[in-house]
Amino acid sequence: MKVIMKNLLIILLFFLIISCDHGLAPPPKVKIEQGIAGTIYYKGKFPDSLKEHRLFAAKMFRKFRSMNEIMSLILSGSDSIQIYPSILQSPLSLTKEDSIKYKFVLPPALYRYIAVAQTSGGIFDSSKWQIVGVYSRDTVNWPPSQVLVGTGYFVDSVNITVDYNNPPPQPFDTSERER
Amino acid sequence: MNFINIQNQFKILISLVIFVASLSFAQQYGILKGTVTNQENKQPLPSANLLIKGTLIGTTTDFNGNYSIQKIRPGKYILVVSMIGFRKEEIKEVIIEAGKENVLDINLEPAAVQVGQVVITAGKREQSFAEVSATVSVIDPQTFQRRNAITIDDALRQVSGVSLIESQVSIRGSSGYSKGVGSRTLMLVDGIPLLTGDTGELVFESVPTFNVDRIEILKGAASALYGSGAMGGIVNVLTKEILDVPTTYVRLYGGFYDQPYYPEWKWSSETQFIDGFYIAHSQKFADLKTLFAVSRTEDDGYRQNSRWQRWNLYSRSQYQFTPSKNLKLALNYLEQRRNNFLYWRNLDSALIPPADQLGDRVISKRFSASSLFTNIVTDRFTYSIKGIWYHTDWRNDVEVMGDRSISNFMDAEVQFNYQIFSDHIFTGGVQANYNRVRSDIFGRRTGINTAFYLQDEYKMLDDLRFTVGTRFDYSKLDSLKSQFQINPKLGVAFSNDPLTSFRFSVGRAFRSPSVGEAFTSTTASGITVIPNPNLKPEKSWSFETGINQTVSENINVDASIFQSEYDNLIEAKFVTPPKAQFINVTRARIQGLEVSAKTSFFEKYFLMNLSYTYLKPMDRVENDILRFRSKHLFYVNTVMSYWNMELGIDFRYISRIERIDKEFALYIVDAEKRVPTYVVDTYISSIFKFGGVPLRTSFLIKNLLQYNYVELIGNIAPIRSFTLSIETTI
Repeated sequence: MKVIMKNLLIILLFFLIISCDHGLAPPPKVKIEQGIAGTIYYKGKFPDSLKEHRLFAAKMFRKFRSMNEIMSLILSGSDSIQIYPSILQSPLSLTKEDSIKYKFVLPPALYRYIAVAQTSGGIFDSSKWQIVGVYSRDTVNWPPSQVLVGTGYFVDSVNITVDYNNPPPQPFDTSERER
Repeated sequence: MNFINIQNQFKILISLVIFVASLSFAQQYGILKGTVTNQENKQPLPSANLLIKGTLIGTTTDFNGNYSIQKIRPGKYILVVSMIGFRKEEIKEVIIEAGKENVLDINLEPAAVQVGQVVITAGKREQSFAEVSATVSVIDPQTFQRRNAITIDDALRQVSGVSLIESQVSIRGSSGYSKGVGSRTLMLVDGIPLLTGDTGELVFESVPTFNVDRIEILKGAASALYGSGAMGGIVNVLTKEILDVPTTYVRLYGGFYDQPYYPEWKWSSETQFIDGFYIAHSQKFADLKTLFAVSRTEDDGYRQNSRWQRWNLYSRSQYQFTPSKNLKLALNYLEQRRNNFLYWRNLDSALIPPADQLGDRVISKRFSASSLFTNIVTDRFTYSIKGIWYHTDWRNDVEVMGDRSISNFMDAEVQFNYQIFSDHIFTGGVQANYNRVRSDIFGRRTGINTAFYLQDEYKMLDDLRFTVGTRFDYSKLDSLKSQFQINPKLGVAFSNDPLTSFRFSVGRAFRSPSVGEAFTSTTASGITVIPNPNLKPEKSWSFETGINQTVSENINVDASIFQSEYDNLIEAKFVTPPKAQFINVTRARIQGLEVSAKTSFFEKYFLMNLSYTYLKPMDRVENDILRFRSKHLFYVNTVMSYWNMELGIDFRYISRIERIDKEFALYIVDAEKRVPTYVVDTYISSIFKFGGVPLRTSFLIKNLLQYNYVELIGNIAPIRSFTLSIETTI
């Protein structure tokens, strides 16, 4: 009899222990990040009056007609263009180093135009902005190469050269550069 | 078939009654009376069952343990006395003398293991367990008290082989989930059917739990006696006898839900309360005994938009024309206001419904009037006439759409039990019901069903009984094609010693479509349901065989294997999404085995009941498991008693539902998120006197370990709650 009871209690205890698991749970809030990473190389002399110097990644390329358009997209909070660092953070490389590594968190998407822009004016003064470097996989600065950012991983080696002696074509002033 | 034929059947039956009654007038009878007491403390035992073996007559003891059995033919008998919690006694050599009051006082010894009770559902008459050819489980009233069962489904969840998806009962896997319409389990109250006229569903709220004496759950096909709906089995709620002495019963309870285990699921900063009261008073005026009760229960709900409130008025009267003629009348009114939580927003917000469901609610009013007249004409012939009018009126989305449905279900039955020879007991009867529905969703519908049935229990040997019977049903539901059903059954019960009994039964069953299944026309939560005027009844053949063995003083084991073949099963399917329709969709086979054990240790201070059910519910068309079924059910109930205290722990395991409606799941985010059920409930209960008033208190914790699971996809089952209940009978 004692053996039976012992076995029954063991069965009960076993199931009680199983019940200590709490069953269904809210899905885990895992931070999933993706984007691009690489190095920005600087050549030539930094402009003295540099105020803002930022990397951006745009899903659209051919639609840009002016730097104003890029700025208005950034300021409107549209996800069609992302800027790094964000407007609230200090700009890149005002210390004028030879190179700087970056890791740019982006929503998953195809980015057709990744470039470095800078201005000697205020951040909202679009007339002073200028493209100083463009990601181009096989050549330097032109033509732009597109990057597909998938969920949960970073695309490495998205390297950009900012050559102040040989700036890239500005994509806004002639229609022939648009594709 | 029409009402003229029903009248003819009725006339024949009445003639038979009068003929047999006239045969008995020449007889001289004796009376057996006495008191049943507890052998240990000499206290009287109310509600003990007494049955004169080999006859149709028996009775139950009153509040003071007294009993009186009328109209016993002179002779020598065996008296069977049983009560839950006590050892069954078979008193031999009970001599009845004509024209005399023969007195016999009986002491019952408390039993370690509760077996050998008397049941009435299997044969529509009182039978001891060993005489029954099907599996019957019994829930005693203490279970309600200890567990603070507000509705009877709270107690059904611990019965072997029974599982529930919300309020839909599935006996041995017979039912899946049918969106609240149609039921393959028939619910009876004192043998009278209680299914809604429009949706054909069980409404547990309509049964006041304080008045329940016991619940019998008959497993397997039972259409041979009960007709449509009894495919999976029967839940028969038997009410208490009204006492001779003025009695007042009061019960108060209150409690609250714990915070959700995961902070992400917290949807309110306020505590969600559970509370209610029941007050009942009964009194005897000459030969009339009456009971009146009122209750109000309320639950804030552990989920957003799931609050409900109920008012219930209940009255029962019992008039004793003569010691052998008895009329019972019951009136019941229930009003309920309930918010509607259909499914969660997603697993991240599991206790919150989608925004479009917020504010949805249903107001329902249900009224029933039932009567039961019984007459013990002789010790070999009894008959009863019973009837019910069940009115339901509900409306949903009151502020928005205002869909309303009113149904009136009327059922009448005349039943007799006739022991023609000492070894044959016939049970037969005629039954007719009429159903009338006026609804925005179901339209204006009427339905009728007429039936007659006859069963013979043949005692071939003292230990061997055969039961053969059949029932003929004619049904016509509005524009659906009329149906004629014949449902035979065969049962064998064999008991060669008091400790062992064998049983075998095979039978056919059917279920007519409910109005809701055939004629629903509505749109809810993006799903449109369209009517099906070609819907046919479901049919099944079931068999089971089992053994009950008392292994020792402390252990009783019951085992059975069973199989059911279903044809034309009705299920809701998406015909052209988002349009769904109830259609005869499939053939199915459910096979399984059920093992249960009742044990006691330490001189009854520790009781443990275990049950395991294995099911193989297969869809034979799709060659896959049936939807909304689990394969394994395992329940453990323990009670530890010391002095006037009881500590109980109930555990239930139900394996994960393996298959659901994929189309249905398209409308519910995270519908695939399902887990097995592991739930522990616990209670501590005590009886003591306070100022001379006997009080019973119970403190109950449901879902002690905060296990989160779903019975129905997209619906988290109740989280941990705490309830304190106090009750007294004075």
